[in-house]
Amino acid sequence: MNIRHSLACAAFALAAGQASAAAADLTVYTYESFISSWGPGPELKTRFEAQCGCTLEFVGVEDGVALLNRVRLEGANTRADVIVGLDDSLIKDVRTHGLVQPHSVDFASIPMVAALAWADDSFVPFDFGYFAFIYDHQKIGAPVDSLAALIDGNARVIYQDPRTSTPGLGLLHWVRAVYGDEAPAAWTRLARHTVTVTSGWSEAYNMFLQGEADYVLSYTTSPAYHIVSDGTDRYRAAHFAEGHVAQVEVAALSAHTDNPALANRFLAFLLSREAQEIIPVTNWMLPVRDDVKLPEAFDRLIRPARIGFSADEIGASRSIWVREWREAVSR
Amino acid sequence: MPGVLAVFVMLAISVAAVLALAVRSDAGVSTALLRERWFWHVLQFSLWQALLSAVLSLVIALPLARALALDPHLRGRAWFLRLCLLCFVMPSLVLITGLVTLFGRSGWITPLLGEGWQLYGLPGILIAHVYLNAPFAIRVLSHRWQSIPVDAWKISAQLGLSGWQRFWLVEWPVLRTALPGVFGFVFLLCFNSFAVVLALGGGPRATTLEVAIYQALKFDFNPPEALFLACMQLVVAGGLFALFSRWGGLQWLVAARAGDAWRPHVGSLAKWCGRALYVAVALFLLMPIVSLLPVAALAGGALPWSEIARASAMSIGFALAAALLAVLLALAALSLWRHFDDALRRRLIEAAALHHLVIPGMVLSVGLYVFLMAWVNWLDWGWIAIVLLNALIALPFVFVQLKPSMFEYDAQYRQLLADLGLQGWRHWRLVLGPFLEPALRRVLAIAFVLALGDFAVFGIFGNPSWHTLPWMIHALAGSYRLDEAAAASLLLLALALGALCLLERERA
Repeated sequence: MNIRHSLACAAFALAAGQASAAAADLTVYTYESFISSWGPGPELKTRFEAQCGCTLEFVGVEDGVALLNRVRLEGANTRADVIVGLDDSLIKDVRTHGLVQPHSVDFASIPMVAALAWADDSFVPFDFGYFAFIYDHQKIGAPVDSLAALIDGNARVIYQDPRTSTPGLGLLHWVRAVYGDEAPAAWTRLARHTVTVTSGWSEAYNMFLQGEADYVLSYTTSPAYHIVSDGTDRYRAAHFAEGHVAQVEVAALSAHTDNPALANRFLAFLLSREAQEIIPVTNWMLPVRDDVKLPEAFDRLIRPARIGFSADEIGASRSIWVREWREAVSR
Repeated sequence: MPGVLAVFVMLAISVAAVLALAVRSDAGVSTALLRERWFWHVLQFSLWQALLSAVLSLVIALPLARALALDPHLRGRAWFLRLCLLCFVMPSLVLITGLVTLFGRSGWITPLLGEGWQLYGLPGILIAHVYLNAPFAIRVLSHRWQSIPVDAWKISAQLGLSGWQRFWLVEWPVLRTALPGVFGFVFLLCFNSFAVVLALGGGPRATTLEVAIYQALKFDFNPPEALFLACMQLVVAGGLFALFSRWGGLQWLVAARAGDAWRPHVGSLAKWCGRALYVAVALFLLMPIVSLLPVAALAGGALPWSEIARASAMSIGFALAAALLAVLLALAALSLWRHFDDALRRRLIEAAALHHLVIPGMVLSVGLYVFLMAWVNWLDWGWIAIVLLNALIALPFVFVQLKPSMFEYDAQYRQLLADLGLQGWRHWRLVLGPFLEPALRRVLAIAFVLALGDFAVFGIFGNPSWHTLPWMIHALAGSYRLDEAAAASLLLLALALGALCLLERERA
């Protein structure tokens, strides 16, 4: 152990710091897995840079919630021109804090998926997914066909903690949408056959793959990943009669961008057919356009009816729902 | 004076972080939680599971540490002690996967555990905490046992002391000084953990305060609540830790002598029990790692290797820098500490170095981020914060383990040094440095491994051009690539192991 090591290391970190200091024309804040080599980021960057003759820089944080916190913390100091990867449950917070500004995208000129019914003047959806419980078709021949059947049955269930994970928050929304004020009683019934509640999606999903549970909370698109990447269709999403709640991932213009024209151009690009064909097979969510060609695996996914509350309603009730859940399942 | 500067840095960062959050929260600390039944339940559960975990960890660590120190025929001791540090870098996803493979529904060990076995709940938490913390206790305690002077063993043998007499008269006094501190450390580590507690605890009944802090700071971005929880944690956990540490203490034994490795005879029952435990614990620690091998071997080819290589280099760079800084800070603080003879000032310096164990890393990171945000562009300078905060997080581990060595040094040589008038660099190079070297290697290793596994600090200050390995593992696991995440985790463990071998190599 000697000093040389530490010097080399400091020089190395310094070089890295300087590399990023060369400012790009457009800085996009997003979450980590969006810009990983297997995510949509690198491909989108190449295509957009070719179109605009500009440079684009991604800054990745842990996840959507961390993204909101980052721009909230940075306020007017932020370097973000565009924010990509918030979800609809966070929209209200973003709006309240004045972190975004209206965009110039005209949804009427784009064949948007009807179920989204999107008309927001600040947020542009770029993909979405329905929450769903995934099961192993080789183990369960007759899966539950409704949320009520899941909750009142005795199948082993794993889901994520709504205090730390967005799918967990989605289930909170779902149970509330189906049960209304009866939600606490439903949570108590579910708790009787819940194996565990994990802090993140990956722990829950991995435990399910290890055979710890019959059902795990994920997305209707999860089976597509297994078909395309693992070549197996044993994992399927249970189709619930009450309908499913959706998670819509959105992008927006930072309120503090100094290049709104280019930022708007990037938002329009996210909605282009080109980008919409890349996102589903890299981010494993559904496209927001109707006219996108996708691998055959996507045709085999269930197509549930969409239920649930508006983004503003979710934002307003989130903390009450969390408390309600906490009380019901801790009993 | 470097000592004053070091202590200032230690305290200033915590104060700045807390202040920044307090200022942002206008109304100050929120105490609304005190009226919620849920909060008291969580506090009670946090304490209860931490206490049980710490007791269980020590019950396993004590006999094994003794066997490691006294049984010269144990094979692979050096590898075992390195294995003991790997748990500090183990991503929680890997640990959970491994423990589920062993104890889950179709686990390897589950058939032996009887009909009613249920991993999720207190058993899961205790198993995970023993896995994470007993190895640390084993390392520290076995070192304490080894520090018992040869003369003491020889005299006890000449006097014909029985096993128990020897234990009470020779071994216990040495242990007594270290045991409360180790217990306090393990207790705090268990008190602060949450991803594992949540996943294996079977749901929100098994929640710790740390989850609540994470939620308050991350999901709700509610600094008043986060501050309140952090204060509670500081008072309750910090208070208990201070209490435990007071029972411990320092004791000068005798001049250390190299080369003489005479060890007392250990009864054959104790010896064989020790060996059985050694094998059992080694298997327990290895199995979660081994269970990853088949999955990882298959996924290895699919890893984005160039990215992984870059991330590994970054991780090593950050971890080395943080480990060196942690050791320098600890040395500087100790140089101040040995200047004072009064207990009060010494205790204050100890508090400055140790309190990072109780303050949640997330509070420290977010607080510092906010505090300097207006002046510093973190996208460019975040690497300084990553190194500094990881150094501070490792500091308590470094400080407590260097302190006894420093104390022994003073007890042994202070008088002599005063006569020689040796000072400054010459003093360090000729006397102090060589004396401390083995201890320095040990603490450098632990600080390195701790920083190598960092995820939380990087999450706040990181920048995509300096991706670290734990960060990549998180990204892989978050996009269905769980097998690749396992492969990358194995690589992380291998890196840590490689570094430990290098650090412990030149033992002249």
